[in-house]
Amino acid sequence: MLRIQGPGVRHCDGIQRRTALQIGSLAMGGLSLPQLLQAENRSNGNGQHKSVIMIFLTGGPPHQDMIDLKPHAPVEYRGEFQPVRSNVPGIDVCEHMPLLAQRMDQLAVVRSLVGSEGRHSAYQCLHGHPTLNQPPGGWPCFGSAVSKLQGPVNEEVPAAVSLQPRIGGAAWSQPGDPGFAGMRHAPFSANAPGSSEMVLNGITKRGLQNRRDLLAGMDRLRRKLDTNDAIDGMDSFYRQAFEILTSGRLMDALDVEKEDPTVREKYGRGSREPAGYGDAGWLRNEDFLVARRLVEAGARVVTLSFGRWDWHGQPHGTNFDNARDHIPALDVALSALLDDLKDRGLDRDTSVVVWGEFGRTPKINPRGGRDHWPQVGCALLAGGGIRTGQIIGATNERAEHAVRRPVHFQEIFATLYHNLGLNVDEATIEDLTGRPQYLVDHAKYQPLPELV
Amino acid sequence: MDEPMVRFRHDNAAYSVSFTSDSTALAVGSLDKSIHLWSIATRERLHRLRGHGEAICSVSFLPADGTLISASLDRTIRTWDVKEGSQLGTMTGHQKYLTDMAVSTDGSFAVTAAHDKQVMLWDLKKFQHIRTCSGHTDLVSCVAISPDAKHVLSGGLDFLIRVWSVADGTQLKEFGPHKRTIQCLSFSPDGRQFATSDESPVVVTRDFKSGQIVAEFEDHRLGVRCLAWSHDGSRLASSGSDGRIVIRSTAENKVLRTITAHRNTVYDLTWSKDDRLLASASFDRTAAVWKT
Repeated sequence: MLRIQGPGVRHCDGIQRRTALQIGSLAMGGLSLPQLLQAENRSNGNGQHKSVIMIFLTGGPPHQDMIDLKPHAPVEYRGEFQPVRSNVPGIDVCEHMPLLAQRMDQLAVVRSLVGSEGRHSAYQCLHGHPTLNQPPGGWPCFGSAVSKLQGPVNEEVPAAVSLQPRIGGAAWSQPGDPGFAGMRHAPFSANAPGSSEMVLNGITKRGLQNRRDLLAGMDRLRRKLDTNDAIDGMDSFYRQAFEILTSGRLMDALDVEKEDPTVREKYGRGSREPAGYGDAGWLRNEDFLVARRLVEAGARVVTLSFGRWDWHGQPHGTNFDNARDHIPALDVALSALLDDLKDRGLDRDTSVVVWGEFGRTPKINPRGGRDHWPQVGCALLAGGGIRTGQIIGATNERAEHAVRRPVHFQEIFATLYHNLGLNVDEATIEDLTGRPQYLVDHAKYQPLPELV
Repeated sequence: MDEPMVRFRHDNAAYSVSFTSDSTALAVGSLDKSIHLWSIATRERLHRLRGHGEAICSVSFLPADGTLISASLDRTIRTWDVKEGSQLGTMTGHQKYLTDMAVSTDGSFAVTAAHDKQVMLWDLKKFQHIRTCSGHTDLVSCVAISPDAKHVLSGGLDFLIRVWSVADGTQLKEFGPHKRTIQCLSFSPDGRQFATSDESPVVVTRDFKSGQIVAEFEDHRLGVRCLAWSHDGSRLASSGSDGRIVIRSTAENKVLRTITAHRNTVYDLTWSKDDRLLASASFDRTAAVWKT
């Protein structure tokens, strides 16, 4: 079997192995024309496909300082922020979320998220499965699973796109593994180093076509020697890479300069500098806008990481210093995204989920920080046709643990799959041994009945 | 928010500020691991000094020659030629994060506080470690030097304020315990009093010799983070997590002005030499200069 791993190989056209892989991962889902047509058919009749935008709050957001404030708890628990009323009676949120407070009717608040593994990892939110005892090949991330099962909406934009920037902390840097879904379904890392240079550097479309013809000829020759599927996979890698390079639709979606300035302004800009002290992603509001543009262009799953929410306290700013920095930025960006999706009529087809890998300690530590708290966390959900304007679950008086309706990470994933039109009781992907694997542990976890 | 004379925006939190002796430029130490030198008149960035491997917790211009000294969470103290924008030297000694630094009035020595529970004195002429003051049982968060350069105050997570002899590094006395971590210390210019706060909104001024509380006032909604006495001793500025700066008349013991200065905690305040300007550094990623 042809494998696209190993040392730096330069292909006959001068494309380095690493570049080919990167472009190859663009082409995840690089399917045949019949498959592409099939994929088109699978999208719903009104021309708008179902999609998910997943916003990963890297490091674990403080649930008790955002959407589960405990103003009557002892001072060492309750923190510095006051709750404010939202536009839904009974849902109070942090004072630093005034815009979202006025859009709470468009959100479902999960105050009882459980099942965290307690480790710093994007894996928890991107894959939804335990990191230990994975099936052969490893669990595919959410985007890869959707890519495998539904394919791309069009041949110019990958089904799964990650906006994870290059991140110093390895645990947070992965855009999601394709696992046993296969490399062709790896999310395209739009903010990976070098991706911005994915242009026809001094080569005309005609020149590129000549190279394509040469490659096609070589592939035909290879095919005579080896009829392995992987060769065909490689061919489709190249095919979609060519489509992406020549159509520019993906690049257009990634280019916020092409957005209406008034819309762009609503999202806020943010920064490309790493948030916190440099080991996490940036606090770039424009990624929310890029996510919407990608969905509009045809992406099914877009994931982005926003800021650094691992706030242990001094000397890197207290939990509350950092919260005053990050929460208002999230308030602006997420509110703009909700408005934008609604204005464009995308809100019923696009699900939005906002979460991190765990919650934070109820008791404030001596350095003004909150530490890791896998016992309970929080999530915000919107769009996708779910029933919003409600709270699911509750924690005790100090936000230490769920006392009502604990919601597992996999229940959120089941809900997202449901919103995409995938039945978690039926949809499977074969692992490397050929054994079908369900998307979630469906015997235990189903789409949240409160929402769907 | 109130409008300052000038506001400098950064890509990350601003932790510390210092005016040049002629008050034409401002150095800002940031969580972005660099020091930004800004022209106050033109609002242009003159230099961005890189070299530290972690956030800059304190910056201070030396009065004699305009050399800039910086302390960082990377455990080093560095000096910089700000005209050239180049680094001059590095001193090391602390084993954990540095948290604060104070420079003596004549610029001859500096004192640093760190997470390693130590207070260290540094000769700024020979550029070497002088001595270590040991005694704190938890991290040290703030230090101050008496105007006569004979004493050092330090406070931290053990809730105590300790007084050290500069001459031999021995602990002379202690004040407290306070209820929480000592966050900030500032001597009055005559050395008779010092002001402190302990994560609460309350500022306490004490008589240095007796330790008796002279005054207590609560001008902030959230914890106080920095205190700075004006050079003429007439005003005490405080800043806090509420983003406010409060300027008090020490003689009349009343608030002269409350500035809604920043959207986040104000980590540092410094007066210009003539006390006409006050600079602030905040976690809201800005530093500002205020006419007083």
